[in-house]
Amino acid sequence: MAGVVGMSGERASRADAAAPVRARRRPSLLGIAVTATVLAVTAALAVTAAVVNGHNEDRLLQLQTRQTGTLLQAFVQGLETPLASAAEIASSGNGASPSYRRYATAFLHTQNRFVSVTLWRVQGGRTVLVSTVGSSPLAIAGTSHFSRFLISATTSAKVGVLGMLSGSDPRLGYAYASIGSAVRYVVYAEDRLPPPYGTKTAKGSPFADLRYALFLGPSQDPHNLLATSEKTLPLRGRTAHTVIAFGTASLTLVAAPVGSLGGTLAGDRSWIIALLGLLIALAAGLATDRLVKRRRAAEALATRIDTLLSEQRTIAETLQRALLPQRMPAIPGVEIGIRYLPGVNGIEIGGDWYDVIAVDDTRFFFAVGDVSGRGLEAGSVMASLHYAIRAFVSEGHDAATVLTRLGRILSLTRDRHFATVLCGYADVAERRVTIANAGHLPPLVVAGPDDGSNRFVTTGTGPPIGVTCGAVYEPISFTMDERCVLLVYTDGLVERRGENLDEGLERLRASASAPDTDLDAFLDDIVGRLGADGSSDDTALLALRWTGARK
Amino acid sequence: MTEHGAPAADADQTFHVDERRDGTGAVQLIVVGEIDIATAATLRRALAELLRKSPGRLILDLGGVDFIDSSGLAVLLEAASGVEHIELVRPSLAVRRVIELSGLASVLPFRR
Repeated sequence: MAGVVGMSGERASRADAAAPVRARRRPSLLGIAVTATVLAVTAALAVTAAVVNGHNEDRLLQLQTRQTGTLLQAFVQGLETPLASAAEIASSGNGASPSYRRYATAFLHTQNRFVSVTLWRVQGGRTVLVSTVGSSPLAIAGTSHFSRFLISATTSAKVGVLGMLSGSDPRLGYAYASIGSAVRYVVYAEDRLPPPYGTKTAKGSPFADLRYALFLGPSQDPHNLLATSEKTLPLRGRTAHTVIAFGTASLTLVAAPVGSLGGTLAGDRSWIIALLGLLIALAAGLATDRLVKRRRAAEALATRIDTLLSEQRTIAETLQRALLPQRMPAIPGVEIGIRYLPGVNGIEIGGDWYDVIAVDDTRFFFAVGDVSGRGLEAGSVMASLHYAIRAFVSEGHDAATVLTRLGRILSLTRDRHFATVLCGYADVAERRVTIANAGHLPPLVVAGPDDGSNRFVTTGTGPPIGVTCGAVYEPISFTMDERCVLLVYTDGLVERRGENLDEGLERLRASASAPDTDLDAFLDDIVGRLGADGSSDDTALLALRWTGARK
Repeated sequence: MTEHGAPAADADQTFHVDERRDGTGAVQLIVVGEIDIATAATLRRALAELLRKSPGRLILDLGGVDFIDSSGLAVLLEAASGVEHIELVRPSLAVRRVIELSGLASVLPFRR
């Protein structure tokens, strides 16, 4: 029975030991869940940061593009003023007066941008070239297209923009007319256009932070491209555009940021959040995983300890039972019952024992003892006393002498244990019991079925074994009725915390009920009544009763 | 195996021992709580300490002890065997009955 329990315990512990090994290899679900949650939060934060940053960049770009457009507008006005002045000078001087030529020449050189400045007189739908400063205009004089342009300039208060003049030396032509009625003078200037692609931008200029493309006209037609910072178009990435009035025409500025307008970190913010979040997620996941595994390991350890404790308890009980006789000698005329109850929290071996030794046909010796403390030491003291008693009985010593002799083999100061022993001889033929008591609780005589007067046997109690050297014990002798039961027990049956021994003894005396069946049922009843509340101590019980078969 | 050492004994919060001088100047050990297998080692140490201060003489106040088991008795008996004089002051009924029923009244004398 004990072997089977032991084996199953071993199997259980092996299975438990395997569990943490599997757990170590595989990440815990909780760890994965924590990582996933933190990753999800991180992703949400990163996306939010990216969206916010996107809006921010859009707004900043639009703002900067508009500001750059405003600057362009000022530049355009700077073009109009000298043209307007030249036209007024020509008008007041009635043509290419010397003052006009001086102004136009100075204008040509100081601005260092116009390559050709021509003065035209427009009268009655006809255009006549009055003066040329610089090179000849690319616009071909006399063509109806150009004439219509010059005439239209007189109807507008704004600079007339002819448009881009392509060729080996591309130019931009525009004109401004003097105010007047019959005769109008129109100053037409041509501006050389540098190659539009890869325009260099000065450091600190409003264009420095931008990649841009500037078109003539309201659309982003590559044929009308005036300048761009790029090698190719269209601009990639986030762009914004603004349209600026330029005389009768317009300019379209398209811009894209060089880096991040919101600062170096702004564009990387979402990535930084994502990276940090990833690290935190991994750290949190690993920490959770470790915690979960440690908890699992602790639980596995607790289970293992429980298993070991129950195994140890099984071993203790097995040892205890091995020392106690399981079968009573068959002695005619007497019925003997025994019980051994391990304490409820008894992991260690207890020191309680009982024994019955047949002496001859009508006499037998019995003993119940209790070694103080618990554990292997108490167990071995119990074993040595148990076998010493057998030796003394076989030598024919009486009960009191057996106890005195036991005192020589146990010493409290040396062994740190003492023992209480109640032993005696029973004479079946005489129905007489002779007992000696070394510090043990008094035996109970349970009266017959119709008699409620249970009583404790008053024994001359001597000191326990091992306390004093050479203690002398006084045996007492009494006869017992056929219907009575003699119950010898250890203190585990009556000793309870929070009350004194007398209360426990009285409970036993009052609850022991008259046995009209066999002693096993009687002992079961006693244990059921008194052992149910669970003594922490071991308990040994021995009951005997004369049977009717008399010799 | 009965020696469980300090951790087990200290785990029992209700058990404690104190020293006090009585009217005659003799040192008394006041024990409070349950003396059992868990607290026996603590009591044993306290008794050894007291014997260093007043050799050969032990006075124990057991008025606050409401339970004593065989492990506790063993400690008291061990101490009693090493001194000329031992006295249990005003033992509780629980202690007194255990000692009387164990046939130890002459070994562990009471003073009421």
